Order: sequence, then structure tokens, then C-alpha cells
Amino acid sequence: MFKIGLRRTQSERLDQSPWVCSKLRSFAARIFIVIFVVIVCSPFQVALAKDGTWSSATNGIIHFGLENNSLEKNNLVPDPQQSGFKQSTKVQTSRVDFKAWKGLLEFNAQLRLALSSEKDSKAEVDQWYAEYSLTDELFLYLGRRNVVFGQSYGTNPLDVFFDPLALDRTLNEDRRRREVNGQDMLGFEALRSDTFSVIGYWAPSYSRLNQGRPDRALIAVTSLFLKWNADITLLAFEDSRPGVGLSFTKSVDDAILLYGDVSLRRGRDRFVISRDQGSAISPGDFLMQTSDHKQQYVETSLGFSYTFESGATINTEYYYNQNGYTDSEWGKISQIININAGNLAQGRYSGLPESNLLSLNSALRHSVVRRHYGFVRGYHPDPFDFGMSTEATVFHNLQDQSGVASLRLEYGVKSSVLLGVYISTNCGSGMDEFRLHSNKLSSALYVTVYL
Amino acid sequence: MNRVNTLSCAVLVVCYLNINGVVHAEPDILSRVDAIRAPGPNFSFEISLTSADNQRLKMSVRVKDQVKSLVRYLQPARIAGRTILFVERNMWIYVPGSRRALRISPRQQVLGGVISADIARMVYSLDYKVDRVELLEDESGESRRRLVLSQKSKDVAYSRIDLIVGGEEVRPLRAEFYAANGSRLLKTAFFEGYREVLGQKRPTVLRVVDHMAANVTTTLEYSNYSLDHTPASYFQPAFLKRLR
Repeated sequence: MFKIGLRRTQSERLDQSPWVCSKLRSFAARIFIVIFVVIVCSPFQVALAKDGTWSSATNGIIHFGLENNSLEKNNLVPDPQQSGFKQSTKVQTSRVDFKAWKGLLEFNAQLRLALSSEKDSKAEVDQWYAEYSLTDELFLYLGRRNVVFGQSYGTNPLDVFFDPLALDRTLNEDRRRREVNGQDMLGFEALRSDTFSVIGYWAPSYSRLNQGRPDRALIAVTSLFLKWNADITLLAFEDSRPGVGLSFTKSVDDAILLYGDVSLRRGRDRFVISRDQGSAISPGDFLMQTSDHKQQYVETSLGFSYTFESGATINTEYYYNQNGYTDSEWGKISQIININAGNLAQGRYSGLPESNLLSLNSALRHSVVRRHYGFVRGYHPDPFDFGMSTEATVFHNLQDQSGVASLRLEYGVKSSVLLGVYISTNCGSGMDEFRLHSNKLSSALYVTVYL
Repeated sequence: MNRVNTLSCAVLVVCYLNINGVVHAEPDILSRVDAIRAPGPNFSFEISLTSADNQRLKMSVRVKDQVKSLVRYLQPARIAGRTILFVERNMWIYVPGSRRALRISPRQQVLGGVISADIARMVYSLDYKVDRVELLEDESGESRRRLVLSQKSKDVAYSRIDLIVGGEEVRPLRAEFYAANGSRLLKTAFFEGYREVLGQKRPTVLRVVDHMAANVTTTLEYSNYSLDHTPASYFQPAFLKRLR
């Protein structure tokens, strides 16, 4: 008999030392509340006194979509429907964006209601924060918001606190990174001398604040080099995997853009097969978390974009993720998936192969699992001269040659209705990365009404 | 002897060109053209843009120190809130959904044959120099000149512009925009709808014909000009998410 288990490292167990953590977090929460009162409530009074009336702006969308997945069983997911994958889903999303301001104070909120024929309905507060302008160039804010850095389109190493699995790929670029939960934070932003800005925030995890997330903080400095048509952002962040990052962009003549995003993070968030390399893979192996907090891991995306005279733009990016699996690690994972799939097919060890495959599936829930990737995106605002935009992307694993290709067509009807079609297909064979996904062919047909 | 012959030929060529309408450029002629299009270094206005297939965009534009522009989409609702920032040769776009400002190239298209640089850049004298001036035949009883402009650096949207100006006040009437090699005509813009705006007659309609797309016409109407001083911090990519 064999069993797959999840083994935690000692450092992880220490992280959860209950008494010290609760004291620290309680203390942090009190400070948080005091700062809230000082920063927001006092300026609120000042703002009320300085200016007479509130102004506000509201907009939003209603989205209707029909999503369809052509599911395919494989060794990792022998029964896609039992594992929760759905063939056909009707979705309806309503989103309201609200902004109100008076004097130096501004409130922002984004509320979203997502209804689905196959999943639980969700009501989300993606953003909800207050911002106070001390001057034209200095802002303090408190609340939930989404803050993003980096220029890359395919995979963005500088979106350091965001899990790309939370992105709904059927949504277009205007909505994909917007309709996700922000972080509860307290922060500031300072702009200086037209070319320099600093942003910093603290996002503590306490009670319902940032529930299920570690304590986080970030500071980022951006400098614009106007003469060289370039800008650089440096950032440092605290997280369960703390690190530093760098983003640079440079435009060359009127059509070419060069860019890159690099992060260097401490520790790793992957499970590996625990047996030593060279050992025979056999039933009885189990997964082990590799949170090695002594080693630094690089993640980088280097890109190039060219805009043609027709307005068509092409982006090409190379993405490297040192946190991903090596060939040796991936070989062991492939082997153990195949062993369990074989046992399941032969009906051996009643129930355990399913359980093991579920654990493996859960352990492999990352947007990418290997190290080297290529990304190409082509966009044309109106290739057929009747107001329909086209976007095609390919994300390709350079190690096993599998990938995912997608095509999106969008057509604006009147000024406030958008019709869209999205199709994506996973390519590869055997145990290739993108064949491990159950969705062989996905499509979405949608109508979005802008209010 | 050879030298004398070469010199004689050069003199003859120059005389020939002068006879055929090539004249010397006044040093500030391009600045005078710019002064008609842009009422000052700091101002704001609105643009209504209509494409051949009747799609409409409405944008507000703020200009600071001639070289900084902020273009914010007001309509249609599906792209409202997008903002393009142009500082010297640098350009960023803020799409509310991306939650950050992204650097883009000046060729990024707005609609039809109109690119962002057409909207955001109101001055020719900073990006182009006058190579030569040609006198044109008088069609409507008004003297007209063709200013042949070439790019000062490679990072501008067009390699060459032929600008037709009319009258002593050098009103811009038509501009022909050429591609990188300077010979392929990309589009022609017609400056129309001259009206009294902020103390001077200025064109309030720009009709752009895109020769790369079967001569599709896009019309830009300019309105609500005012002389404004927008705070400097607005022209930073980090500020774009705060624009109302």
C-alpha cells in the first residue's frame, strides 16, 4: 500500500507558531486602525470643510457569456467531469465602478456579481478604498485595491502578489486583470519632478483582512528617462517569498518597444517527488514542499513589440521561470502520474490512485510548471475594415513543445455593446505540460453591455 | 576647368529651381503654422472623431509646455477612461482594466487612419524641419506654398510631411504624410472649418484620408478650446489612474 502526503518543512511550521503570531497581528491591527483614523478621518474633516459638494461618477458593465469546453481525459485527470470540469457554462457578470470625491478626498469602489449555471454565485468587492491628496504629488490611501507593475503581456513576473490562475482567460485585456480581488492595504504614492515616483504599501493579514494570504509589503521606485525614451522601475517586497524586482521599457523609433521584467525571490512554492534523484520511482513516494528559503529564484520575461503602419502590433516574449520544474523533477512527476494512472486503470489499491492523482493535480496548480517559454501576440484593431478587432496569442513551452493558442474577435455594436468570440486550444502530446489540462478546446461567446 | 564647369552647373540648377517656384524658407514659418493650430503652450480642448463606418469617439486633450499631452477617451462607453500620455517622444497608455500605465509606440492606432500621435502632437516645429518651400499655382486667388518637412529624428511618426499653407498668415490647408522612405504616401489631412477661436482663426475640423486603407476618411472636430494650466503631476504615467 502506498500513500501520497503533503510534508511541510520546519520553517513553515515555525511560521504558524500561534501565540507569537496572534500577538503580533493584534498589535499590527491596532496600529492599522490608529493610522486609519489619523490618515483618513482627519483629512475627511478637512476635505469637508474646504470644499462644498460631493461629485461622483458611476459606470459598469453587464456581461452575458456562453462558455464551452471540449474535455479530454488524460493520465492526470482520468475523469474531467468528476474532477469538477464543466463542458458548458452560462455566465452573467454585473460590475459597478463607483467614484466619489470632494476636495482632497476620493472614494473608489468596484463591486461585482458573478452568476454561473455551474458554479456558486459570487458577490465580490474587488476594490474599495479612500485616497487623500496631501498635495498634487503626494497621496495616501487605505482600503482594498489592485496595484500592478510590469510591462509583459504573456506572464508578468512583476505582478508579484497575484496568482495568474485567478485570471479568467476568456475575458479581454480590458477586464482580465480588473475583475479580481485586490488586497487590503495602507499605502502612499509620491510623484516628483515629472520623472520620478515612489509607491509603497503594507497589506497585513489579520482576521478578515487579506484572509488566507501572508503579511505583505511593497515599495517601488519608478524613474522616467525621457531623453532615452525609457523607464525603469525597481521594487522590493515582503511576502512568503520576499524579493526584489526590476522592470524596464524602451521605445526605439516610432514602432519598436523593448521591455523586460525580472524578479528575484527567496524560496520556492513547488512540490516535488521526495525520492532522491536516481532512485526508482515506485508507489510509496510522496510529494514534498520545496520551500527552500535560502535560495533565490529568478523569474524573467524579455519582450519586443513592433507596430506596423496599419496599426497591427506584434509582441514576442521569452519567459524564464527558475521556480519551475527541472527536466529531472518533471520526469519523476510524469512517472508517478503514469504509475497511478496505470494502477487506476487496472483497478489496483482501491481508491488510492484517484486520491494520489487528485493530490498531484492540486500540487501542479500553477499557471506554468516548467522553466522556458515563448509567447507571441498579434493584434490588429480592424483587419477586415468593418470595426472588428482581432487578437491571436500563442504561449509555448520551449522544453516539451506543448502550448496553448487562442484567437479573439471583438466587434463593437453602437457605442456601448461589444460582441466577442474567444477560442483557445491546447496542443502537445503525452505528458506534455499543456496536455495535462483537461480542456482540449475552449470557446466563449459573449455580449458585454457598457453602462 | 572641371571645377568651373561643376560650379556653373550648380548655379544653373539653383536658378532653374527658383524659376520653378522653389523659395527660401522663412526661419519661423513652421512655428507660425503651429501657432494657428495650437493657441499656446498650455491649453485644453475636446475632439469628436468620426470614422468612415460612423464609429464615434470623443476625447479630451490637455497640452502642457507644447511637448506634453494627455488624451482621455470620453466616449464610447466601452473604451471610456482609457488615457494616452505623450511626453516628448515617450508615450504610455492607461487602460483601466490593466491597472497600470504601459509604454507604447507612437504608431499605436486610435481609430481609422488616425494614430495617437496625430491627436496628441499639435506642433510640427518640434519634430520636423523645413527642407524646402515651393510656390504653388494660385487656384483660388490666394497664394499657397508647399513646405516639404523632414523628420528631425527617427522616433517621430512620419518620415516626411508635405504641408500646404495658404496666405501670408500661413494657414495650414493640407498635409501629406509619408512613410519611412519618404516616398510612399500614407495619408492626407485636410485642415478645414476655420473659425475664430481664442483670438485667431483656427481650423476646427481635420479630415484624414488613409491611403493605406482604401482612402477611408476619418473626421476630427475640435471644440471647447481653453487656455489651461494643468498641474505637472498629471503628466506622469503614475497619475493616469487618478484622472476623472
